[in-house]
Amino acid sequence: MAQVSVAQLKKTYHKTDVLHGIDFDVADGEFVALVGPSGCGKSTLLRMIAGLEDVTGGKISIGEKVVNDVSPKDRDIAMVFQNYALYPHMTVARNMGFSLYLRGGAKDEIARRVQETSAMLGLSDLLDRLPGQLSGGQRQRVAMGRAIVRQPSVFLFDEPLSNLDAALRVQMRADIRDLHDRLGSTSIFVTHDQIEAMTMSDRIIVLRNGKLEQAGTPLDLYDRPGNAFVAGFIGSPAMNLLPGEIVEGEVRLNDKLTVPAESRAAGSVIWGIRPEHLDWTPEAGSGVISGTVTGIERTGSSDLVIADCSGCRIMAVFQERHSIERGSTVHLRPRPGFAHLFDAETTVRLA
Amino acid sequence: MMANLRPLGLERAWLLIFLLPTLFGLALGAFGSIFATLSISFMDWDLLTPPVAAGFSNYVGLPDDRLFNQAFWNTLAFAGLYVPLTVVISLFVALGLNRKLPGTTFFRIAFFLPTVSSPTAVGLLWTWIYAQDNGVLNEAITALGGDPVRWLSRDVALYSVVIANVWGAIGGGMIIFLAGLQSIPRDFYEVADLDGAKPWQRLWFITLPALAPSMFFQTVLTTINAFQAFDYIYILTRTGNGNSNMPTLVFSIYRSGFRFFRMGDAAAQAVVLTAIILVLTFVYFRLQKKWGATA
Repeated sequence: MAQVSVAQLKKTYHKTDVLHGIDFDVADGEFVALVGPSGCGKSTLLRMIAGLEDVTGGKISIGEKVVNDVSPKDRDIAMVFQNYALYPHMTVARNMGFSLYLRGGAKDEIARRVQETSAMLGLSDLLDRLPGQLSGGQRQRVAMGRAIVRQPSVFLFDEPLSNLDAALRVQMRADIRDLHDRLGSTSIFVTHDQIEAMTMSDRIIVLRNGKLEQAGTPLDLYDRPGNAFVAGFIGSPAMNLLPGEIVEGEVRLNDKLTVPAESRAAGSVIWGIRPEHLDWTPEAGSGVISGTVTGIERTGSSDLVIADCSGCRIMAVFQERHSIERGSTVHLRPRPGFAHLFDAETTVRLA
Repeated sequence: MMANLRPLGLERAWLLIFLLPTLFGLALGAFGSIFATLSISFMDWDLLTPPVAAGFSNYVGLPDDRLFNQAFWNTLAFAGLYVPLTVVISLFVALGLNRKLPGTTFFRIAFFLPTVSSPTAVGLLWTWIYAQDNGVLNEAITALGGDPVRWLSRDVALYSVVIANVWGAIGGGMIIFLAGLQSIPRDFYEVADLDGAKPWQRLWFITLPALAPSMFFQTVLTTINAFQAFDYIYILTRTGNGNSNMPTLVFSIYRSGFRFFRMGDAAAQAVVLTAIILVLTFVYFRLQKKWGATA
C-alpha cells in the first residue's frame, strides 16, 4: 500500500484551465472521496493520478516516487470505471484474470487469485458467464474483482455506483468500504454524490471549478463548512443559505425577518442553517422564523417542510410528525449554536 | 401525445392514396421482377417470338453449358481472392486511419473516392494502367528493364481484375470498419493501458473481437458483391467480338440474354446466382452464431 501526494497539480485542455494547482495527500490505507458538481475536474484529477491524462504542471507521487512521466501500468494502481469497461467477449474469470495474464502470470497462480477474489465478492458461480449475461450489480462486482485481483497499492474509483439503482447503491457503498478495510488498501473515490462521500470516506476533498474548496473528515465538512459552497454542497437536504446584514447583534434577513447573530462579525453576511437544525415551535416570537408552508415531503421517518418566510425559501426537517399542511403557517426556531455565518463577498466562513 | 395518434377513417384512406404509387412501384419493381425472372426461367423466349414453356430444361442444361461453367469457376476464383483481400486490406486501412493525425482526412477521402466514382470511368482508368502498350504499369516495368506484361490476357486477367476490384472496394469496407472502431468504448483501451497491454495485445484481445460484427457484415456484403461483380470486369476484359477474357456469372447472364437472346437460359442462371448468394449468406449467419460474435 502507498500514500498518494498531489502538489500544485495543474491541467489545461486547449488553453482552458481545468485544474488550477491542487494540493492534497492521501495517507497509506486511507479512503478519500473526491467530490464536487459536474465539471469540477474531479474525474480529470483521478485520471491524471491513473496516468490516463498528461500533467500540465505540478507533481503526482505514489509512495516515494514522482509518477508524472511513469506509464499507467507501472504506477501500481487499479481503476474501477463508471461503465465497468468489462470486455464483452471474455468470461468473468477471463476478465478478472486478464491483467495478470498480460503481465505473464502463471496459469495456476491466475486461477488461484481469480478463485480467491471471486469468493470474496460472491462471484464464484458466475465465473463462466459473459458480462452480457450479468445484472448491473454483478457487473459492478466483476469490475471490482478485476481491480482486486491485481493487488495494487492504490485503488481508484471513477463514480462506480452511478449506474446502479438506489437500493443496490446503498448496499455497494457498504461493500466497497468493507473491502477497503479488509484489503487495507489506499482508495481514492470520485463521486458527485455527497451522500456517498459522507458515508464511505475517511476524508472528503471538495472541488469546484478546478479548485480545492475544502478537505476534511465528513463531519468536519458537515459541522464547519469552510465556505458557503461547501455548506450548500455537503448535507441533504441542503443548508438554507440566506443573505443578510448584521445589525446590533442580529442578522437582518429582510424587513420582517431577523435571527440572532451569535457572532461579533458585522456587515453583509450569508446566514446558514441546516434544515435539521430548525425546530418546530407552536407560536411566533422573537428569533422565530414564521412562514407559509409551500410544500411537504413525507418520507415516513421524517417530514421535509418547505416554507415561504417573508420572501425567503426555507427548508426544515422534523423527525416528529406535526399537523402541518400546505398553506398553513409554520414557526421555526433556529437551534442555538448551529447557525453558520459566511462573508457575503468572499463566502468564507466567519469565526 | 402525437406518437399515440393513429390515423382513422378518411385519414387512413388519404394515407393509402398517397402511398399507393410507391407501393405499386415497389410491388412491380421488386416482387414483379423476382416473379418474372422465376417464370421466365421455366420458358424458352428469344424476345421476338412468344415464350414457350420449357419445364426444367434451362436448369438441366446449365451444368453442360461450357460458357456458364467457365463463368461459374471464374466467379468462384474471383470471390476466393477478392473477399479475403478486400476484408483484410480495408480492415488494416481503417486501423491505420483511425487516429487523429494530420493527413488522415485526406487519405480517408482518397480511399473512399472510387466508391462514389462512376464505375465506367474507374474501369477506363484501369485499362490505361493495364494497357499493354503505353500502359502506366508496363511503362514502369520497361523503365526498370523488365518485359511488358499482358495484364488483361486470359492467364493474368483474374489477378488484374481482382486488384482493380479490391482497390475499388477498400473505401466502402474502410467506412464500415472505421464506424466499428469508433464504437469501441475508450474505457477498454484505458483498462488495457492500466493492465500493461502491448499494442499487438490491444489489437488481438480488444480491437479484433470488438470488430467481429463489422467483420461479419463486411464479409457478407463483400461476398454478395463478388458474385455480382460486373462493371469493372466487363470494361477491363471485354474483347472485340463482344466476349470477355474473364467472363463471370453476371457477364454470362448478360451474354445469354442480350447477345444470344436466350432469355429463359439467362433467367435460370440468375436464379442459380441468387441461390448461391442465399446459401453463402445462410452459412455466414450460422458461423456467426456458432462463434458467438457478440458486441
